Amino acid sequence: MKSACVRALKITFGFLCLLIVIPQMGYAADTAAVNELVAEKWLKNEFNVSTLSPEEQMEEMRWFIQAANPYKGMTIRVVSERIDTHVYESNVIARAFSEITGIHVVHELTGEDDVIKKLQTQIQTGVNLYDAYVNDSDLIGYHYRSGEAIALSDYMAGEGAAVTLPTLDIDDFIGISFTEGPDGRLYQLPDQQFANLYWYRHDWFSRPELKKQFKTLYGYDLGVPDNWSAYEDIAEFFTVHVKEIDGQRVWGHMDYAKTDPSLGWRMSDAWLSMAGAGDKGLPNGYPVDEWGIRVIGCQPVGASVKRGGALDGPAAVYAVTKFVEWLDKYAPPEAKNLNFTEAGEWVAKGNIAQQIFWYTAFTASLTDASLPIVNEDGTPKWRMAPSPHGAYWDEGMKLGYQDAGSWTLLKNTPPERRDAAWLYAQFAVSKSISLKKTLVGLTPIRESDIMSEVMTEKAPYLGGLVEFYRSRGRDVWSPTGTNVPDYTRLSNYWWQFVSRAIEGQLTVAGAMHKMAEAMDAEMQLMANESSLQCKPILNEIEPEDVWLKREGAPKAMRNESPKGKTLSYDEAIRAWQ
Amino acid sequence: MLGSSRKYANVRYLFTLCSRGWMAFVFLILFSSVGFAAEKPLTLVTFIEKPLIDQKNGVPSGVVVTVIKELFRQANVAYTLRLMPPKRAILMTTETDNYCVFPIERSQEREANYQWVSPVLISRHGLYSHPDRPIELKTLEDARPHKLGSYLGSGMGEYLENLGFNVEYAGRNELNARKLLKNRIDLWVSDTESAKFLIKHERLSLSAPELIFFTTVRAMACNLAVDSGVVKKLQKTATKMYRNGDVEKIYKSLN
Repeated sequence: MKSACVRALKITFGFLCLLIVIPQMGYAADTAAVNELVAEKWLKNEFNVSTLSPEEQMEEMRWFIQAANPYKGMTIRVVSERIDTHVYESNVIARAFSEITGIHVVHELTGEDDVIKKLQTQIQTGVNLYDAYVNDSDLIGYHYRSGEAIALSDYMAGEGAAVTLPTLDIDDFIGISFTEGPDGRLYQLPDQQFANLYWYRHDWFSRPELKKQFKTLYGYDLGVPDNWSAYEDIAEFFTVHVKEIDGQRVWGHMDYAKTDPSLGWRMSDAWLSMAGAGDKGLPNGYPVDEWGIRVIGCQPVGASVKRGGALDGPAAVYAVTKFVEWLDKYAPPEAKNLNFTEAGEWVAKGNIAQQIFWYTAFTASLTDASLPIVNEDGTPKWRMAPSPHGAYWDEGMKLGYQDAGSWTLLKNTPPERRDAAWLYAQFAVSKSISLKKTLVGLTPIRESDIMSEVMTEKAPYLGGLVEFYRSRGRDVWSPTGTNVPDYTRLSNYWWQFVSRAIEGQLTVAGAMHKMAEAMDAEMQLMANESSLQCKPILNEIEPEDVWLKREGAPKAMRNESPKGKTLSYDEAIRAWQ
Repeated sequence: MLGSSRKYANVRYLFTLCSRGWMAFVFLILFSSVGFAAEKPLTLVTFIEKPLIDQKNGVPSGVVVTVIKELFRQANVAYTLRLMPPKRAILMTTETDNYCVFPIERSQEREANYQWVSPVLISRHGLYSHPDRPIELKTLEDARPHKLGSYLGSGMGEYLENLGFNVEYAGRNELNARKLLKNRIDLWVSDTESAKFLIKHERLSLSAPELIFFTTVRAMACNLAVDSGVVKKLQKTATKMYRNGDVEKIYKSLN
């Protein structure tokens, strides 16, 4: 009797369960079908260029819909800096992801320095500000040392395997070497990349009367400068001698120098690498990198020359001296009061002849057909080319900076939120989306996109961007590397000390000496207080001339005014091949 | 002699008492503010942002003030505390030695103008619509066609204005809620804690934000001439207070 009752109860319970589960299954199937329709709409109307076939794109979308199921209804928060690519992500890609997967994304945009400060705040306080950060790979030295960021290579193979896109194709990412630690683990996933290249008005440089005038004055051809002497001559030529073109005042140089964190990027984003302050080695000089920090193995041992670094050596002083001098002599007077964003808008005005160190993140904003720097057929009047190198630069060294804004997950983010954010991160870089994103923001991350037919067709309108990213140049222009033990703690010194030289409060040499000492002192604090692995152990002090006589960086004084040398545009970009 | 000696002793005793009292008085004057360090007391300025910062009989109160008081107590730094309208508080700190203002949004644009102790508050900011005119917002971009209400001195207002949004400023945050209800703005931009409080206490017929669109790290900003050693000490203490849970305990008292 008892067993019959139990059996009856079991059957009733099972029936009730079916009553509950079957409609739910139907609901789930219906919801998935609705989501697929939404995905189809997005693929047809927005993400309609891809290196994948439409069927393959749809297959990726189905995977996202299924993988997102446990996180439906959640709102996740991510943050990145404010450039065209991220604006597109914030306004379009986040919306698409939300509609397709049911995970709502708030993708905040803020200044790059704010992104870093927020990341630092989450690490310091443990408060879950964001579920993922698009953080420049310049912090790789900190991420692998601190243990605060998730090693993505471990996560993808383990805890995050179920939420890792099978078609992510890590080997397709052109900047993946920038986001690996010396331990071989991947800490960040590139989301966008842009380089600092030489930018110039190809149309002006091609004018016969200007070419003739330049040759008469300087004794060599007007062209893409190969060294800083030629850059300086061309700057003087346009600002002092040409002065006006087509009735408009023109300038031979453009830069920015407002006392602001972005002034520091001008320097830490490898200004000193162009001058040749560091050692040979890619992606960063070894044992001394372009920040002038020397390492032994993985341990930083000093930034000042007296400890074997190069931050206050002759090459660094030369680099900053030229920065200040060119700003004073050849740039528009307003330049001193501009920051990164404000200066980015200047070349579009059509009165700048060249810029030694121009962020390709601004490419999209310079291609608008209504601008005075764009031809009627939509092709640009300008070109980008390899940056000229300074007197201390030697073959085998990096020649400039590349920014690789990369998805970063922190360990103190709640796992469920982290997993949902990882889905969004992969969506934003998936092959279904990435080519369209590249066309909008022009910050390519995938080999497949950059080599695509679509990019070949686009190349004549982008002034050399495609040629750069199809060449080995993309490896020679590299981010801050692993010699820098804690980017957030050290990067402030750049703008705080260089601004004193610009404002005349200190000589350049004085500012660089003080900065080198401040960096050494900060690294000593890290050594005393922090639990970083591979933390700094400072070298004992030795006389500067002892270090300057040794091979490599810090380098002894050289002839800083060699004869100017220029190349034709074709010769210049061949250097990338 | 004895008499006079006793009299003298009494006078001396009185003098001693007086001088002790005087010294105590001087001590009180010198260190009437909280904190017993030898440095010149910092002048802290803040502004009403209920319920985070309020005032009782003209004296600043509220959880953020409690955090700051605890920070200065633990760091052993002397200070005085005043209330001002936000815009004036920020200007005053920019221009006056020895001044610090809190809690203001720390941003790249402001970074070089001050020395910072951060965070003292982490805020989420939302957009609130009129109950009769809901505006669906999936991303911040959806708010672009609308008139947004912020207050003078708000870093959030400046952020939106820099992005090209149509921002109208009021003198204080709470005035925007009323402007919204009178249809003078389309969306009210507010820190969610302040909005929650105002909606409840002023019985405003407003519901949840349409979108929580931004997170700010709010900090204490000090004039560039303030002793950097003191700022470093405060920063170190603030970090310690977050790590050991002191700050969380204080903020939990709000709920």
